[in-house]
Amino acid sequence: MPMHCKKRFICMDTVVTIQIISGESKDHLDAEIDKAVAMFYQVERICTRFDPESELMKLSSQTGVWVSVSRILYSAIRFAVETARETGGAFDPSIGRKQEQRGFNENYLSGKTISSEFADVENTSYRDIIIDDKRQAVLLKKQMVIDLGAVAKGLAIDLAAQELHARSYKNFLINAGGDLYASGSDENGEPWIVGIRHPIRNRELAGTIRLTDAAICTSGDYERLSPVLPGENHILDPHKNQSPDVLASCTVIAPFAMLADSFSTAAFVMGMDSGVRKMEKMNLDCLMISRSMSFVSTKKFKEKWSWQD
Amino acid sequence: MGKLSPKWIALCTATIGLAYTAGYIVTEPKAVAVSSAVQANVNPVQTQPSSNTSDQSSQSSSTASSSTASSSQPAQNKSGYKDGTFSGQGMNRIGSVAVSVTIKQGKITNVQITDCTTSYPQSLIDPLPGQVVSRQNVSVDNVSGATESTDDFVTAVTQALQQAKA
Repeated sequence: MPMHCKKRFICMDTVVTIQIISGESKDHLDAEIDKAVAMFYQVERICTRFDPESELMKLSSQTGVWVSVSRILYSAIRFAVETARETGGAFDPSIGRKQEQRGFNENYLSGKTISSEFADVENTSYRDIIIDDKRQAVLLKKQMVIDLGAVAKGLAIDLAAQELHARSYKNFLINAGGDLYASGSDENGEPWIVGIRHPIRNRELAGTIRLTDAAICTSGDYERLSPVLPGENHILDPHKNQSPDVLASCTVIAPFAMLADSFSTAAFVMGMDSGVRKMEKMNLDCLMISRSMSFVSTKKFKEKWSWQD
Repeated sequence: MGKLSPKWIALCTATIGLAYTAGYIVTEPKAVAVSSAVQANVNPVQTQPSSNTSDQSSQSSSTASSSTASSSQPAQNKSGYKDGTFSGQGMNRIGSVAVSVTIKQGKITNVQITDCTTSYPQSLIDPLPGQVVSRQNVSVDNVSGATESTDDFVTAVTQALQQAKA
């Protein structure tokens, strides 16, 4: 009978759950899961913008010079910049200071707020972040706070999954506050059942899908409201400098969690028409629910993922 | 799902590959080499070669929790824990839980909740320290109705044990 070992912890201001289905003993699995947990803490430690001493923040305060950075930071920034290019800036990692000003400035663990006045510079964009693959270095043309909020969690999930795959586990689920990767099958040998939250009735599901060897991420306007700006939430349209106001939630399914993470944010910003078109073009699956509760998705979304209302 | 473009497959694979080879115990921030390195070394007994600019203890600065270690004669044991008393703290929107964990001969001999300021009474999580001692790890039972306090407790103990392992 396969064992089912599950662990919960807090990282990146959310509850993370990792569960493995395996025939091994619980104690052994427990120790194995800890290896994956370590990935989360490491990514958080390096990529957090809520700690002035993090590697990300130390990089952020330096402009006009090449700074060689760790592999984790480099790979996260490169991915963020590529996503920004791909989406024409609908996704933009240079918005950290704006997010601080919108009230997303509190370290969830210490309760301390951060205020990076050095980055009070107009018109920064991802184009001001220059990266050099060979030297693994980053040059910031303007002062800014880099925000890896829509990349780091996905990256941590992918790394944790890599760690478990490297240890020959096939069946597991990593869930970081609704940003999730499902590998293999659940304890019944079936694809994992994943619910997509109803964006308005928050205790209900809009529906469920069946997921195997894929990641899913939902960005919603109901999570993390701005404590200072009424009607605004954590999703920022970098071009309009406000939260998009048509969609209630946007779900993306992708082979990698960091893709699902960053493109659910990007597609949310792009909106119903161009967001879905973009996802079609990239062959990512996407389901959008508008504030007026109309559903739009990429072709055959519901058939492909065994959608149930 | 249709086929993701080769460019994005390559980028994702390269990103995960590069980040993964950093390894989970690795030490990096080279960024500090440029500015003057401010090392948040909260563990006074730890000595590390200076080439390793970052140590595990700096993790506690990124999670911005306070964890301190006081251990006089650290002796590494089979469990990987040093003897001594270590503290950790877990926090979220509902409040915080602080613990102190005592290790003797590599074993967790005592866990105490030193502070509990969550919106729920501490009595709900009172059984948890005993579970950590008897199980010798942090996998405590979930307390229905006090999930967040439990999470705080687990975070706090995990941090204390990380100090013990450092």
